[in-house]
Amino acid sequence: MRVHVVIRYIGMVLVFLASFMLAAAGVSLINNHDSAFYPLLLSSFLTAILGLFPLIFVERAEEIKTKEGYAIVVGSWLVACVVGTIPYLIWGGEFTLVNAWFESVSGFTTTGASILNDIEFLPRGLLFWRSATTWIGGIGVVMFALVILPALGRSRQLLYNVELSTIAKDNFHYRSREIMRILIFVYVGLTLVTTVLLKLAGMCWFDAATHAMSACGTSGFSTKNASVAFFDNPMIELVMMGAMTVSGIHFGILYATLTGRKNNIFRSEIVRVYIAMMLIASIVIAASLFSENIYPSFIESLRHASFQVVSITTTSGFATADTNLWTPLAIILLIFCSIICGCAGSTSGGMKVDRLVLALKVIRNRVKLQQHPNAIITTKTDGMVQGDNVLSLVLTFIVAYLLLALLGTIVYAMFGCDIMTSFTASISCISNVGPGFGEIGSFDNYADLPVILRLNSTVLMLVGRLEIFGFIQLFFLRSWR
Amino acid sequence: MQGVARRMRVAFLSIVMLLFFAGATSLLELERVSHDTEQLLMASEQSVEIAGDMLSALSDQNDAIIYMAVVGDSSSRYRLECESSMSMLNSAAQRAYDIMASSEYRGIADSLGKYTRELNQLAREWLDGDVHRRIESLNLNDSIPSLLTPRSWYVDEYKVGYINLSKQVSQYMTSSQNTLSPEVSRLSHTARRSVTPVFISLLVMFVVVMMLYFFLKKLYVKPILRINRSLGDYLTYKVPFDSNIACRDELGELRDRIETLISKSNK
Repeated sequence: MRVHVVIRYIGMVLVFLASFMLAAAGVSLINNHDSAFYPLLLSSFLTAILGLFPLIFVERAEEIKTKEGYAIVVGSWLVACVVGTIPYLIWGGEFTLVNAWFESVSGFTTTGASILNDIEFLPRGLLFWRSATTWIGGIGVVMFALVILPALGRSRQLLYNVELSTIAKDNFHYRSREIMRILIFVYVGLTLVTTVLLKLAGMCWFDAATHAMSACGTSGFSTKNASVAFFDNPMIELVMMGAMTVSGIHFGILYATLTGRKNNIFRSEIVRVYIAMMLIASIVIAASLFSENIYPSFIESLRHASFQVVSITTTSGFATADTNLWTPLAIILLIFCSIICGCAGSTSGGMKVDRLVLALKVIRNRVKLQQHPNAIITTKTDGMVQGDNVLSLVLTFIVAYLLLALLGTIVYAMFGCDIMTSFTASISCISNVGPGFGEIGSFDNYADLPVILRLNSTVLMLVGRLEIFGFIQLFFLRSWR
Repeated sequence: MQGVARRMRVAFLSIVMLLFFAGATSLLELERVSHDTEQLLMASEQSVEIAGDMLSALSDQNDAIIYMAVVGDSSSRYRLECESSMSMLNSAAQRAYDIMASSEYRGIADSLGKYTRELNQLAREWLDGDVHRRIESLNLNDSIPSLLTPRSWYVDEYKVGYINLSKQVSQYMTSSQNTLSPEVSRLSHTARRSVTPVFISLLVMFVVVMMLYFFLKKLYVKPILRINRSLGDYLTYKVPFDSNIACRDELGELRDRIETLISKSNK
C-alpha cells in the first residue's frame, strides 16, 4: 500500500474541512464577531496546513488500489473526527477532550447524540460548524474531497465502491460520473430546498440552514436545547419530516425519480416497505398514545408519533416529545425502527430496510424450500435476482449487528446503566440514531454517562457508520491482499 | 507543485507560519488573560478600598459623636470631623453602589446606602441641635425629668445605627469578594483557552514535521539512494541502469539524464 498516496487524499478531505471551518468563522463574523471566531479561524488554518502539506509533496496518483481506497475512506473518517474536535477544544466551555471527541464523532457519523447540557449557550459560529460536521458526514467525507478534485480518473470509482454499503452498491446502475452528480444534485438540492421551506415555515435563516443540514444528514443536531419541540410549529415539523424521509431513501433512486427514469421511488419495493413501515408504526403508536390519554386528541398523538417515528427511522433523532413517557408499545416500536432504519444508499445508518426485506424473503424461501426440496427459488428485490453472496452478506451483517448490540449493551451495563439505557444506547450508537430511552431519552443527552461509556459510544458510532465490516477490516490491513 | 526546492520552501514556510500563528494566538490570549486579571485585581482593590474608607469614616464619626454626646466636648474640631466623615461615608456608599449596581448583590449596595443615610441623618440631627431641642421639649412638657439624655441618645439611637452600618460594611466586603468568584472562574477558563491553541498548534506542527520526515525519506532520500546504487552497480558490474523510481520532479529528470548519458556512452 502506498501510504503517501493515502495521506494525499486524506489531505484533500482536510482542505475541504478547513473550508467549512472558514465558512463557520464567517458565520461567527456576521454574528457580531462572536467568541467562536478565533477558534474557528485558527482551526481552519491548522487543518488547511495539515491538508495542504501532503498535497504539496505527493503527486497525484493515476490509479488507486482497492486497499488504498479503503484506507483513504476509513482514514478520512477518523482524521475528520480528530480534526473536527479542534474548534470545540479551542473554544472551551463544556468541551473537554472526551466531550469534543464525542461531539465530533457524533457529527461526522451523523449520529447527532450530544454531551452538551446547554446548546443555546454555544456561539452561532460553533453551532454552524456542529451542523456542518453532520452535513459533511451525511454523504461521506471522501465524497466531498472527490468532488473538488478536477480529475481523478479511475480512482473515483474505486473509492466509491468502498464508501457505499454492499447493497447500495449492487443497486447502482449508473456510471461513476453520474453517481457524483446524483450526490451533489440530490444532497445539495435537498438541503437548499429544506432551508427555504423551513424559513417559510417560520424559522430564522440560521436555524433553517442548520436544521436543514442536520435533517439532510439525518443527524438530529439542533440549535435549541428542546430540539424541534422548541418551535412548537406543525409546519416546521412537516417540512423536517419530509426532508428526513427523503434523506432516508437511496439517493440513486431519488435521482432517477427526478430525472424521470423507470427505476424510481414509486416502483421501488424497498421504498414502499420503508414508507409502509413508518406509516404503520406512526398509526399504531398514535393509537396507543391516544388510548392511554397521553395526548388529548388523536391528531395530536399522530403529530408527535409520526414525527418521532420518522426521526428515529431515518436515524435523525430530532425530538418534539419526551418519548420516555410514552407507552411500552410505542417504545418497543421505536426501538424496532431504530434497528431497521432507512434505505441503503441514503445518509441513514442502521440495519437498513433493504436487509430486512432480503432477510424476510430468505426466510420465506427457506419455508418454501422445505415444502418443495427440489424447487429452484431465487430471491429478488425490485426485479433483480440477488446472488447467494449478497444474501449471505446480508445475513452475516444482521448477525454481526445483533452481536455488536449485545456486546455494547453489556459494556453499558457494566458501568452502571440500567437495562433500557444500556440496550437503547448501544442500538442508538450503532445505528447512528442519537437518542434512545432511559437516561438518554429524546430530551436527554450523553453528558451524564461516565467518560469510558462516552468513549465506548464513539467507537460504536464509528463501527456502525463503517457498516461493521468496514471497521473490522481496519485491523487486518496488513493481511489484506 | 513540481520543483523540489519549491516544495522544501513551502514545507518550511508552513512550519514557520504554524509557529508564528501559535505564538500570535498565544500572545493574543495571554493579553486577554492579563487584561482580565488586571480588571479582577482592580475590582478587588477597589472594593477593599471602599470598605476601608467606610470603616475609617465610620470610626471617625463615632469618635466625634462620643466626644460630643458622651464626653460633652462640643468644640468645632469634632463638628468638622463629623461633617467630613459624613461626606466620606456618602461618597463611599455611592461608589459601592456604582460597582455593584449591575450585579446580583445590588441589594447589599442598596442596604449599605440606606444605613449610611440613616446614620448620617442621626449625626446631622446632633449637629443641627435637634437632639438637644428634643430633650429640652421633653423636659419642659413633663414634670418628671426626661429619660432622654445625650448619652442615652448615643447608646439607644446612634450606636444602633453605627452597628447596623458596620455589619453592612462587613457584608459588603464579603459579597464583593463573592462577585469576583465568577470572574475568577471565567479567568481560569480563559487561561485554559490561551494554552489550548498553543498545545494544538504544537501537536499539528509535530504531525507536520513527522510527515515532512516521512515524505523526505520516501520521496527523496530513498530514490537518491536507489539511483546511486543502480549507478554504482552499472559502473562496477555493468548491470543495466534501472533505478525504478516514479518521480516527475528533478529526481525524475536526474534519472532520465543518467539513462541518456549511459545510452550515449554505450553507443
